[in-house]
Amino acid sequence: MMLHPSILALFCSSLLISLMTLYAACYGILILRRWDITSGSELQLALERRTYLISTIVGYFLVFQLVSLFLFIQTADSICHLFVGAMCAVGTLTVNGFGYPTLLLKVITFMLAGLWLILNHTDNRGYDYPLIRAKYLLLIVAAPFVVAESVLQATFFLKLTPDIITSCCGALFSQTSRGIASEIAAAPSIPMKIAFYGCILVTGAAGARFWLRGRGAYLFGTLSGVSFPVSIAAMVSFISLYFYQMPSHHCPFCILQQEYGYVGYPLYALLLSGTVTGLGVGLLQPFRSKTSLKEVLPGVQRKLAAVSLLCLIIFTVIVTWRMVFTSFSLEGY
Amino acid sequence: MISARDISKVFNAGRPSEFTALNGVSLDLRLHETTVLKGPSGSGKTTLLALMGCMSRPSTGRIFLKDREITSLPERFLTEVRRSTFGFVFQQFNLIKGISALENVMAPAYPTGEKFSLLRARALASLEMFNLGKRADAKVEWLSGGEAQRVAIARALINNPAVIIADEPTAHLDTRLAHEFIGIMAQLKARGTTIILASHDPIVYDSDLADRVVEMRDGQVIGAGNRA
Repeated sequence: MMLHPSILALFCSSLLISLMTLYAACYGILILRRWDITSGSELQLALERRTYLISTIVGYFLVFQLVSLFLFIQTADSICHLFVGAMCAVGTLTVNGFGYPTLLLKVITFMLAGLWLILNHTDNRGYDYPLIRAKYLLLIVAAPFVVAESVLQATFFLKLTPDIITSCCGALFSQTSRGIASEIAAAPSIPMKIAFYGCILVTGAAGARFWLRGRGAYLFGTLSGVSFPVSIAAMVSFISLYFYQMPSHHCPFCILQQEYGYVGYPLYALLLSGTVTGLGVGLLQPFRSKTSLKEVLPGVQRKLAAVSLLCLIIFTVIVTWRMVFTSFSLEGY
Repeated sequence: MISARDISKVFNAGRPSEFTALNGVSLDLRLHETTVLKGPSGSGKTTLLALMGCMSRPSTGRIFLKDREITSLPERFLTEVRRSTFGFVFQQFNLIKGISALENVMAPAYPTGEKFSLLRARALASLEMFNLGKRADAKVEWLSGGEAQRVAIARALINNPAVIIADEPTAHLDTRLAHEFIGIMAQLKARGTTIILASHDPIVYDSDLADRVVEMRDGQVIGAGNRA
């Protein structure tokens, strides 16, 4: 294992997050089985006291879980010079077979952590722990992913050896290689642009409708979930090309480098934040009938929709701005 | 109505020093009345006051304030109930040393966000009500026992609470000051304030102020009766 400060930070933090999430998930099983707000039993009162503490601690850990996705990518990017053939994070992630599965799980746990934080925030706004079961159920679902991610990440870091010749992004995201990435890279740009802008438009319209009229929460949540993979595919297919100004360079990671003004970080942050908050609108919808949340929940959902829309708009404006005001033209190649 | 249902409070549970301060207490206290909890030291009076005033949570049982169950409330809601409903007068007064009487009276209202000038005017008026207007800027360590207690009462009233809770309020007062305290409480009672006192001082529980006396011993209620 390389004793890089970021690797050590990721290693230690994921260990702590996994242990805390596991503990909280076990506690969640007790909550699901024995929680009874009408009871004044010793167990119930102990559960009420402890859930406050556990939720607060888990909340802080999961905020770091969100940050750790970016730290992981930044780390992979910053150590790429140690591997022969690597030009960006792609090279580091392909040094062994655990890089991409770790990244995939990091994205999944980002979503789950974000949704849990939304549930926890909303639960804390109600006087009778209205979402406590849903909150801990989600934590029980998230715990295996968090642990698996920690194990994979640890294995990935432990198996990093500098003498391995790895692949550069040009090879992986080229139109001639095989795999999903290359298929997306090889997809014709105009249909991909139509799919991307169509998806953004429909999601934006659904979000605006919810924000203005309070209707269509499930639709907006679903479309937010759909717009994430579509946007990632668009990044690989054509968005990144406008930033690189190269018709054959489809890497979604080089955009994170200094050469391109680190513009990838705000783009991915906007995309992920917009998706999580959009999904959160749909996630909260079934709880609108809870008495203690009746007055609070519409406001929370409206704020989430506003954040999601804002992220979506800024993301679209940045990429469109680049596409319109650069001298590079993709069509014709 | 403030109702306690099967309340127990165990300190240091599971340790050798485990102590049961309250054991299965059930009690109904009517609003706009004065209730005195009477009993020797260690009978559980202070613990019961703390639980009813939302200052601590029971080990078992529930407490209802006007039919609203308050023991399960998350801390942020409990703080709001405590701030808006209860005013506390502690046995040792618990005034903050180093700041003036006026600042002590204003302190519990700071989190409400009330405009400072309005709050200051209310606090001064409250001190004037207890003839302490001239002592408003005096540091609390310079006050006599009677003055300190009146400042403590003024502080308890600053958020216009519906319920005043006082724990052994006459423990450090001579007979004259104890009667003065009873007089102040009688004024508050006449204004409709609910008063809950814990005391083993006959001046308090034998006074006309008390509508109801609840007798406690060893963490249990052993008798409760209305006074004629």
